Parts: sequence; structure tokens; C-alpha cells
Amino acid sequence: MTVSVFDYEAELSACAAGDRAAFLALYTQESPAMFSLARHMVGAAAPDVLHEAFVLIWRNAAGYSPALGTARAWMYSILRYRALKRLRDDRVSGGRLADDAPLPVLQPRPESGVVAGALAALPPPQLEALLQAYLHGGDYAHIADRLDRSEPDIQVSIESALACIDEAVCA
Amino acid sequence: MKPQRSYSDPEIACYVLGLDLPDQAEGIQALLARDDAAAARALKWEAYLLGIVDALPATRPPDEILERIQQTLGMTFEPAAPAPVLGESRDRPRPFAERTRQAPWPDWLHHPAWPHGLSTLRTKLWTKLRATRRPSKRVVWITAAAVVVIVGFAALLIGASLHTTPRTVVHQTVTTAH
Repeated sequence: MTVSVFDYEAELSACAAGDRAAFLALYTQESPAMFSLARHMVGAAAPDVLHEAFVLIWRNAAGYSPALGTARAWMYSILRYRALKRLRDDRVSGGRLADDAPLPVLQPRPESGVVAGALAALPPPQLEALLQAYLHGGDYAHIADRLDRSEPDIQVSIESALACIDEAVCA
Repeated sequence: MKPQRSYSDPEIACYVLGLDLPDQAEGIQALLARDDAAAARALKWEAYLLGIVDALPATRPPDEILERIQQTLGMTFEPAAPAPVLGESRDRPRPFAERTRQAPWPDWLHHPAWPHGLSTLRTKLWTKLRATRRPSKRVVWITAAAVVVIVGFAALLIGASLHTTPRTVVHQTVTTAH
């Protein structure tokens, strides 16, 4: 997890109170990372997804409660929901948005903490399956198809990867 | 009524990860909507998985996106729409953020001493109050300057009225003793 002095919770609370400066601060702070993620998930539809996400962040800022988790995670849950929905709709309509997108090469930063370390330590097949699920969604069969592996293999890889991350954080 | 099942942490993790789980998705969404502890577990996983985001090179979005966002939100920001993600059900309007949205009025307005008939009025008043945008810095400075000038004038007037000027000035010859 990134160690940052930016106070996401305070800015999001200010957004809930109608503070546009706080909204712009959030956008300036996080839009480059969110846009990058959106591009890896939905490619050319990334601008639309980022637009939808920030509109929802503003409109629903009052729905965020710090008791449930970090404001940054809450913001990404919005962005990823929008992106995953597009991917799902694309699959339903027979598109291959996710299938054609290559997986990125991760560049873990030391300041990103234990999760970055856990990701770096994952065996490549586990990391590959985890990234496919995180970035492109789908069920085990879809991911197996994309990676040309068996469905049980994908399931085991993803479950193992999640367990490794959980262990690293809780250690 | 259909019994509500619980979900393990790994099941919630898989849901948050983005896996399509046809036989579980609806149940997990319902759980997140009614159970704060489950919602917190989901956000915990979302936070863990931000490790992936942090390992991607950031890309500055085109300026047009912010312009579009501002255009969509308009000059007058609207009240909250149905909530997203953890709050956003995948198939229908999202109840989670609606449920967790803070009441738009402070606790003391809930006091039972308030007559029932005033409840609507107080809600409307408070909503209006909250909807009022903050004045710009310029307006604040101008107002502050005006207040200072008015208070200054008032102080001068009060001071002048309290300070009684002698009506007659008696000129005395001072004799100095040698």
C-alpha cells in the first residue's frame, strides 16, 4: 500500500460537504493512477470510465464512511465496478475487449509496502491469473481460456495468490 | 423468506477481485448492502489489491476528461445519485451507500422534543443550509473589510459622544513665582 501524506478521507468528506476544491484535489492526486488502471482494463473506453467514476465519487461522497475502510479503496471500488461492468457487457455482446489486451508488467515500488512485496514474490502463474481477474474480470473459464490453462489450475492459482497477499499483510 | 447465507473472506476476496461468480454475486451484494462488517472486509481487499495499481506506471489523463466531468456535474451540484460499487449492486440500484449515507442533519435535530409537525420543515431547512455553497474568498474578504469599517465608525462615534468637550475654556494667567 502506498504511504501517502495526501488525506483522502478529509478530501472525500469535504466533497460530501460540496467542496469543489477538495474534488479537484482528489482528481489531481488520483486520476493518473486511476486512468492508468482504466486503460489496462478497458483500453480506449478508459476516458469514459474515468469520467463515470469521478461523477459517481462526487455524487456519492456522503455515502463513504471511514469506519468501513480507506477512502482510496472506496474510490477504486467505484472505478473498477464501472470498468468490470463494461467488460461484462462487452463479453455478453460477443466482444473481445479483455481477450486482446496484454497483461502489464508490474513495477512494484518499495514504498508500496507489503502488498508490493507479496506480488513480487508470487510465482508467475499465480500473478498472471490474479492480474487477469483483477484487470479483465470474467469467470474461471474465461481466464483459463485467455491464459490457455485449465480452469481448476486458474482457480487454485487465484486462491493461492489471494492467500499469499492476506498472509503478507497480516504477518 | 430466503435464508441469508454468510460468505467467507476468500469468497468476498474473489468477488472484489472481479471474478464473475454467478451463483454467489447476488448473495454477496445483498450481504454488503446490509452488513457493515462484510462491507469493511470487501474494502479491505480492495485496499490490498491497490498494490497492483501502485505497481502500474501512472498516466496523466487528457484534460478533456476533467472538463467533461465538470460539465456533467454542472454549476449546481445535484444531490447524491444511487451509490456505486461496494454500494453499487451489479444488477440494480445500489443500496449500500444509500444506507451508509449520513443523515443530512445533526443529531440534535432528532431530539424527541421537536414537535412532529416540524420534522419536515427542519429537514428542508437543514438540507437547504447544507446545499448553500461556501462563499468565495473574495466575498469573505470584502465582508470582513466592511465589518471592520462599520465597527470602526461605531467606535469613533461612541468615543466622541463619551468624550465631553469643555464648553468654556478658561484662560488663566499663570504667575510664576520667582
